Amino acid sequence: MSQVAYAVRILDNAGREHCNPCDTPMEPRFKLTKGKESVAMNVTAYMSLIGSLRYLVNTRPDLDYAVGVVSRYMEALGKAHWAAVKQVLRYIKGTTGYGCSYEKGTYLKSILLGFSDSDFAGDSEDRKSTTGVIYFLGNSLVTWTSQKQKIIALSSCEAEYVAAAAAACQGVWLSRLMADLLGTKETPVKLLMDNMSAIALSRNPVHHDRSKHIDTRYHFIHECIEEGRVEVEHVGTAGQLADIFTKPLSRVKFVELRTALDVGDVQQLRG
Amino acid sequence: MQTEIQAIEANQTWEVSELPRNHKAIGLKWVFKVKKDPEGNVVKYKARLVAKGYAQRHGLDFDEVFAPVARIETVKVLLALAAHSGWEVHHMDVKSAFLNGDLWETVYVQQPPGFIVGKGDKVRLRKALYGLRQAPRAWNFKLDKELSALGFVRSKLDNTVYKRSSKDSLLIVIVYVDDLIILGPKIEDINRFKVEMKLKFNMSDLGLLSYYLGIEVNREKEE
Repeated sequence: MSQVAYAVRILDNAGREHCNPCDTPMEPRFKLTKGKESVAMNVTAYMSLIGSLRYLVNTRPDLDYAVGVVSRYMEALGKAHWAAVKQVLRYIKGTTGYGCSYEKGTYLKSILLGFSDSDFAGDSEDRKSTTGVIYFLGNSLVTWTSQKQKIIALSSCEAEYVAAAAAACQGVWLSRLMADLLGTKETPVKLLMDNMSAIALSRNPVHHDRSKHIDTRYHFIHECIEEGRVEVEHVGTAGQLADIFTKPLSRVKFVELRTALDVGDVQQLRG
Repeated sequence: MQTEIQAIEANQTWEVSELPRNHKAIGLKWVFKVKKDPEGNVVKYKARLVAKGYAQRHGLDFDEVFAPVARIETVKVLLALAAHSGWEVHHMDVKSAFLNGDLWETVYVQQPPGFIVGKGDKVRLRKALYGLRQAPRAWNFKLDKELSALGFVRSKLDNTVYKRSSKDSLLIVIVYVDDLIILGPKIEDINRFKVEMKLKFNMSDLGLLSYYLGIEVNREKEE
């Protein structure tokens, strides 16, 4: 599944069809802040470009985080933002043939496996965190999100907990959809996180000093676990596949995760 | 343009009539478009007659306008499922889909530029036209009715997904306005559904799914 023609069209429209390709959509530890330039930037062109990039994310999970970050600054543009978008375009240039591939199942088909992750206070201005959630059906990556959280998390545990709640919502929906379509019983969704204290908290939300402020809506994850709809397990940072949705990674790590997500050149696959 | 007028006439979209005093007729216009495939080659030239929906007033000319479209996530889940199970995924689309929707409201329009018949230049619409605010909803309603009649059940979790199942068969249909994605374990079921749909609407059968909403889908046969 790919959007090759669409990717090429975006590059053409942006006048970037001859740019030099690069390896990652965003440099590691890259941060953006609101633009402070007084010169007016072409906001409409930026918005329309971002809009097209967002649609491309439908088959390109590897772009999700980078596109998410550049779309946060629609109303406060600066040169840095354009530069960041250009980096994304250069990355696309080198990977136009990329897409997701789904294989014939070797695993049980109704097994859903999710990963949730967050960066803690990744936005250097408002200190909000970013949620990354992905779901596999068997060994195929079916849904992914990278989203800035609505609240300011006070600890990395809380940020992970909020991400897990978002993952639980998605997981429950997916599991119901599968059960409905196949006419089978709803099977519990397995969710992997890399934060021990968030796991402990979701299994047993004890209201001690550091977690009593967490909004009740995020305790949805706890309810799901109690009802047996979601099972949480720990995964080491190395095995955390949702990492690519929460922070810009180094080239080696980025390529490693991209391969793990089964995102690659689908044209090559065909040949 | 001729094809479009023929489609409109075949659907009995309108009838020539006098405009009652308290009604206002809505203007029409022609929209021309070049259709391309993923490589950018011209597939066909298309003319579409559209109503100037912006001239419609809420409560008078239309009421509800909401119509669901398929979530891209659902499409991905189902494609993954099909890949896992080795099912075939087929694609059909309904020609001039919106012209099939029954119109609940009384709407008068001007006759199309260049194609005026009879005396009087106003016509009353029986079926929806492209551009009318309620056209997508009217079409979705019609399609829903026909799919239900064929024994399909609309999924509660995504109301653009329809399922028809019995003991030994399963057929899933995803609806994106006039695009239908059809998948299931048995090719006979898929083919039967295509025949059933062709009896109801003017359909084009696009075979195995390859290009949908700008997304290219390639399928390799297993070795």
